[in-house]
Amino acid sequence: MAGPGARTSGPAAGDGPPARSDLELLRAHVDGDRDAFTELFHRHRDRLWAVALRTIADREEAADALQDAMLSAHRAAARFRGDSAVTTWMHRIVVNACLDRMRRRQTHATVPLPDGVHDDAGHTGGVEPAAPVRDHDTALVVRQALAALPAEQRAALVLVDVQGYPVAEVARILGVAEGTVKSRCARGRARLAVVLGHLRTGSDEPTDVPRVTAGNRRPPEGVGSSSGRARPDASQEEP
Amino acid sequence: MSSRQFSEVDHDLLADYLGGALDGTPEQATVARLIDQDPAWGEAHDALSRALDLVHTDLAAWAAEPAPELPVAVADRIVAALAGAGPAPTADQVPDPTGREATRAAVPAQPTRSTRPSSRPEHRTGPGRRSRRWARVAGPVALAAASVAAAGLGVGWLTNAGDRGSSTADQPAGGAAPAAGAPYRTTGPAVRSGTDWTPERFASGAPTKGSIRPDMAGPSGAAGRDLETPFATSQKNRLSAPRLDRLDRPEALAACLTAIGVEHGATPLTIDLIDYARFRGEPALVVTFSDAGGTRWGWVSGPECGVPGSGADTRFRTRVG
Repeated sequence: MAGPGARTSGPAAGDGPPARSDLELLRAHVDGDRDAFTELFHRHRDRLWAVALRTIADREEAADALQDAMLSAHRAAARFRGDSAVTTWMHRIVVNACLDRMRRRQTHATVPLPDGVHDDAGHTGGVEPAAPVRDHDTALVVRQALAALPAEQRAALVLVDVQGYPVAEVARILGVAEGTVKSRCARGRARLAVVLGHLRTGSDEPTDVPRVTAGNRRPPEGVGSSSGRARPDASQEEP
Repeated sequence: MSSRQFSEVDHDLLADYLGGALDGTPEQATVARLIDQDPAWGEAHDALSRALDLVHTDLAAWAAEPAPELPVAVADRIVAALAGAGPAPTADQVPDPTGREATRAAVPAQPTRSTRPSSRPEHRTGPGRRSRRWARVAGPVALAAASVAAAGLGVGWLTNAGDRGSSTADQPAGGAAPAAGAPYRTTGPAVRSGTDWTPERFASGAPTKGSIRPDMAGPSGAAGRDLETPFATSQKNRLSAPRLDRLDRPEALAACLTAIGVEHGATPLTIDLIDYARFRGEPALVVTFSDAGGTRWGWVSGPECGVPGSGADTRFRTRVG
């Protein structure tokens, strides 16, 4: 599995011995190789970190979730059955750890549906207040808007729309049907449309997340390119 | 557009339609018709389509930012933790970390934390909720369809399957009449064995209602582990596996079995076991059947089996016997 946004180094190439595959590393770990799992972690750490950070939207929480997940995978390696890629398995453990923390801490709020009716949790309130700045960077505004989504919708959207993983792969990561992934993404995008100010609610209530203005928008770029700008105000999440 | 117009539109369903979650389902055509014929739906569709284009642009812009790299300090901390974790335990010493229960156990950093609050049931926001919303939008048609499906199944034992106080051992194992054109027929009642199925269990022999009954036989049963009465087992499983509750409804179970038939092909299927159980620790509907070719199969479906867009929510399938 390799999302378009991935910048994780793969097996090393060069004059040395051929790099072991992920599965070989996991089996070596189970067989007692003390360095094998660490190598596996280093191989995929940036991609797993990106998923954790973008899903949970808090650096400390993401670091704790990633550590919990890696320790869990380290312990449970012998139970890996090989019915998915090792990276899928690792992603699933990381995402579960993030979702667990998000649910526990209730770090998200929900936003009104377009018709103003109560959502599933009975919430109609706005999102958590964002910093009252006016000239917002698109990425910061989008991150704030994503933080307002229910955990399951956020995880699906991050994996599909931001990390670029195929729906089928995300279904395996999340342990749900592909239709469920599509539905979570679709409903999450619709909520984002409200939060970002692209779709008016029935009550036209203002949200606390600033709209993405035309001045901030850039034309779509290839996912995974690295033409980002400096974002001095984006201290909460990404470096 | 006015709020009044919005109030007449199921926006979740509309979002599902635009997101492809309804592709290949009857709802897709129905929503398309509503968009074409109902001004409120058409207006909402156009507005949401335009808004989603902008959302895609925003998400793409964020995705185009440099991906975050794991800070060195965090990486060092994790490597140190891994180094202190010792060798990998054997498979029978650890839970599956991909499951909910295992995930909870796999958060050792805060050992004094109380049990986490229960999460919102999946069906509240997932496609499973769509059936209820859909009933509101096109209630009479949906009800009629469900009634036909349930009647064809032999409603009696299916209803009993969802009866919290029922014991399957007391129910007749006679076949239920299939609906006209239904891709399956059943030969016995649904059970709640409490079994955590695995591929190995399927491979060890052809499971049948009879073969799992010892687990439900109470203190005098032969299984010898975690013995409970069928009623107690049913109650326990209901508490521990709430996500299967949706499949208690006859029409939902009928839709699930139909989805299995559609996905498997080689119909009609002769279903001899429907077990509200678990598979690898997760709530699952376990079904065994013989297909039109006489081959016996074991089939595992998740809680969203039969939900439009989710198909049979298949988790595992194998030949048995």
